[in-house]
Amino acid sequence: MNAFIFVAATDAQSTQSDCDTRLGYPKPGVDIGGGVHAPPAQSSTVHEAPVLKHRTLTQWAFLSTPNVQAILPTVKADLPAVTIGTATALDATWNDATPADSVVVAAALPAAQDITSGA
Amino acid sequence: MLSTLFTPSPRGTRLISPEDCVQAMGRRRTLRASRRSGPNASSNTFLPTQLANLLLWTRGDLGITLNGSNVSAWADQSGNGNHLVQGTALNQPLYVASDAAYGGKPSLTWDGSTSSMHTTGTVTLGPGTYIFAVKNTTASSYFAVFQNDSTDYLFASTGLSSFVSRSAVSCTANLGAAWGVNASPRTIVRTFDGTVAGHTIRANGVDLGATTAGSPPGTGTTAQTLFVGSNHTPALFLTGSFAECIVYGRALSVPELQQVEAYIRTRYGYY
Repeated sequence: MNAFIFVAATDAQSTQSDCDTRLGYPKPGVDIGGGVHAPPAQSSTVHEAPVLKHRTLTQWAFLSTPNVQAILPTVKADLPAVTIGTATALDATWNDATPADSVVVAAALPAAQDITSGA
Repeated sequence: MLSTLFTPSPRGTRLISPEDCVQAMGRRRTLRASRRSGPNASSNTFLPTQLANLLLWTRGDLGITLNGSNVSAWADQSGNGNHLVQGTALNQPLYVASDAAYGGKPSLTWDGSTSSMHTTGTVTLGPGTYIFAVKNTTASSYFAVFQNDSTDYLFASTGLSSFVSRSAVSCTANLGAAWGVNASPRTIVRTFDGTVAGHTIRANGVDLGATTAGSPPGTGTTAQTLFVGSNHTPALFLTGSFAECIVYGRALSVPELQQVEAYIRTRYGYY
């Protein structure tokens, strides 16, 4: 998975936010099938791609998608103070190798960056 | 009535109530059962809602919200509102309307690199039972995990295959390498009753004989976000698919487990 690497959480978040705005998020979903459906506030898509925190380094990664790549020039123009380099492949140090490593990741994640919080 | 049940509906319009849905499915199965004979006929009328302490129930033909061809929400049919959601497009599983591996029933595909779903809020689990109709082709992957890995998880590879911790007291159920990997779907079940010995893992109706260890965590509860198909980072993603996820807030007895397993076997026919 390719990603843009940042050394400041705020820069990664600003880039994510600008991309999301330009790509039209949040987007409501379409319900299919029977039974109960989740309410729109819970079932909408709010981000194109996540921001991850490196488990040991002071680095954040905003994952790249074709949609992100397509709007990148305008995002860079919107955020002149933010350095957005070339997307590079995330190596194994960004991912947990064992279940026990996940505890380390949980401790290292600032609350605002914990994309698993449901926020 | 049934055609109405499975017709795509515009957002915000509920065509039927959850109770109507469950009753209609029960009536359909009763009708099928009345046309059959043999020892499995009674299982055709069973639904997960018929056993007490159901916490979460998602099924591929119910409660799906799509973002294009991906799934942004998989609604809980238990009545508890423990919906599985994924608000980030890149992390959403793919919807498959008819999956031959599940007898032509719908399934959700996890890609092994970014796909993950989690409950909208916390789920309170003490003793409990996880049940999945799942295909997993990746050894180092999770079937399910609570937000903090030090509480509960079900891991597909060797070592700590199933882990439960309450108030820093933990126990494990361990199996061989890649026990959770299979090219075809299986019914995977994890039960925990509060004791070390009462920690079991089953596949397609057979107790796998996991080696248990640790101290008895007891019957205390923890309320945390439940993740399906990854850990909470998220990482260690499952490559494969889910057709159904069922969680009870107690350890089901073996006869009860057999009821649920028979329901899944009848519905999907993969074993």
